[in-house]
Amino acid sequence: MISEYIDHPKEADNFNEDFQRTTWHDETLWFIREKRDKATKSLPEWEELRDMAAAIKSNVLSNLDDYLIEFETNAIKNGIQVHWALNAEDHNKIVHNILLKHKVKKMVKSKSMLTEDCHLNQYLESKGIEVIDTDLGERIVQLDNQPPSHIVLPAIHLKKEDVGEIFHKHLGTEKGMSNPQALTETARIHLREQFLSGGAALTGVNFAIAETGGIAICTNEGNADLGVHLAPVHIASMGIEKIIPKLEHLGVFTRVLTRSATGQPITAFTSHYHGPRKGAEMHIIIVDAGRSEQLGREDFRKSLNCIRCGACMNTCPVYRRSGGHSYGYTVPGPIGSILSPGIDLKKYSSLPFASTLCGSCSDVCPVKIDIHTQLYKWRQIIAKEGKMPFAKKQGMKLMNYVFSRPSLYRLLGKVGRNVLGILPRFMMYNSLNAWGKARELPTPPKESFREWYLRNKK
Amino acid sequence: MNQREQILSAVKKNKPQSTPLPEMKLFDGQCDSILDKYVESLNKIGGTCKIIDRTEDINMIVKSQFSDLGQVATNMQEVLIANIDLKEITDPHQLEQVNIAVLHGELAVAENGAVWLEGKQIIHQAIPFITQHLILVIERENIVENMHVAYSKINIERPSYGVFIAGPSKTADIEQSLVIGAHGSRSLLVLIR
Ligand code: SF4
Repeated sequence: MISEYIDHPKEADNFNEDFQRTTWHDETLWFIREKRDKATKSLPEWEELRDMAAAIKSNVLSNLDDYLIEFETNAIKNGIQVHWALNAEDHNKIVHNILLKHKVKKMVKSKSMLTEDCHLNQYLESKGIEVIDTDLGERIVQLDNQPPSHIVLPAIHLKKEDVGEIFHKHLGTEKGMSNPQALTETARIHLREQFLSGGAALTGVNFAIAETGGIAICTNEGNADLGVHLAPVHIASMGIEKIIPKLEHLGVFTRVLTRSATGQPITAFTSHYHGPRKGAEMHIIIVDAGRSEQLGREDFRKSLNCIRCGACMNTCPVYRRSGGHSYGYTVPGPIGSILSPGIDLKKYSSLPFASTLCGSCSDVCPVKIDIHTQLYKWRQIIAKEGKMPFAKKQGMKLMNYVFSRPSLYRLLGKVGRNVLGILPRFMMYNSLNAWGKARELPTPPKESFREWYLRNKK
Repeated sequence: MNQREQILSAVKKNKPQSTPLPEMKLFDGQCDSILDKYVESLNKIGGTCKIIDRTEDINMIVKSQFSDLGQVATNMQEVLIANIDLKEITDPHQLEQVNIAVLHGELAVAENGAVWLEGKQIIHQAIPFITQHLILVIERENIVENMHVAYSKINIERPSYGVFIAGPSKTADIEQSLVIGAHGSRSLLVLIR
């Protein structure tokens, strides 16, 4: 396994070079978080739905082998061909073999983080097969040879002028075009041609229903459906954790997924595939790639509840100001930071530190993953294994030193409270203090809680 | 051990102690008028809606909305303005030029404006996506309150295809500006009879 170290603080610094752009990124995501709040508050049963979603997922994980077998049996009955892949390499080979059998030269693909993680596009391209990402955001970043920076909004880091430039370069549009309507129309025409000429369509899977042996896919653009209904072959790739036991459970998940993601009550299209259409073929590839191992980690298995809504990213103050690419992992943000160390602890050891542990991620998560607790637990493991980033190490050493000496802690607090009030601005808002950027520190209280408590105790 | 067995045995070994499934609820009976709620939801997601008295009115309504009809496809006998026969078409690629599709929906959902279509009923699964404009016809009594109720009514025949369509296709992938008409239909009109 390639293991180059991802230096999140450094990458975040690069992202912050363009201050205005970072602020725009921050505000755009916060706007989506607010839409989510509005949508969830309109449902009196919201918290109950989260509890149900979490309980269903917990039941799934605790019976996963049985559900997988039930799903497979029913899928085969529906005429679907089921494949199993231990890792990314196996998955890619399975896809390639299906495409070879059908002599496919071009495959259209709708959003799938799993295949992104497997580097499927690069693999197939090396075998001479053209892969077209058909989700608009994914197509934009694909044309520009970048990975997506968000799991729901792949091109959220780009401005309309950037998209205009990318389309000018690759689709031959007029230079300087930046109207979203016109750009989307261009993409529509360009992608229609691709849909009509695709030899196979690959999709992700949002939910795989054990009871019925079918899959549900949620999109807003209709790209998954256009691809699948036109191509002679449909390949759906899913992680083992996508299982839900029964059709009725979709009632819960379709209600929480999109409200959490974008604040919409449901995606424009929620498609249920229970077998190939007449004359076509349908394949499902069930992929492990580290998931069964994560299932065995008591403290971290709940991360497999994730339904990839992206809410934890939109709400995270660190993600919003560091951008998805700074994480160097397919799934960025808080959830990515608890999934990635399980894949490669050394490579991703800086990610669990890319958090203020404010807990906002856990608060918004529709399947109630204790994300910030897991971040903290990874930190402990990383510290124990000696894989802590250098700057953090120094800071933690100092903190440890201070925390183990209560009198020193109290003294430093006092100094801090007094000093914050009198320090000249340039000392707090300089380039050494990353948090000083775009952040005003609060006016320090005159006395600490302890001082107040001692004074009022009498 | 093949890959399937390796995965299943790893899962079996690593899975936690069994926890029960929660009891499902319908969360219904919350809104006074399901029809009003449906109309409100549909408008919010970019669709429009008309209540019709007679099914034959569909023809007139469609004609008044589109000055140039182009290719019109339908799965409803009453739609006389249709000019291509879906049953005659063997390859979905031939649907490329369809401008308007008028399709009958089985069920609709008040909380989000969605309409449930079944693959077998619409003859070609591609039709609601490849058409430029989509018109769905539903019955007033087939509107249910929310997704829980909807799933309790849906009967998935197998093999099959089925889809909830909630609004025209859309994207906000360019700077979060909402654009209607991404890859699928550019507009959605729901006719309630
Ligand atoms: S961890 Fe929770 S909030 Fe984050 S993407 Fe997954 S489901 Fe959504």
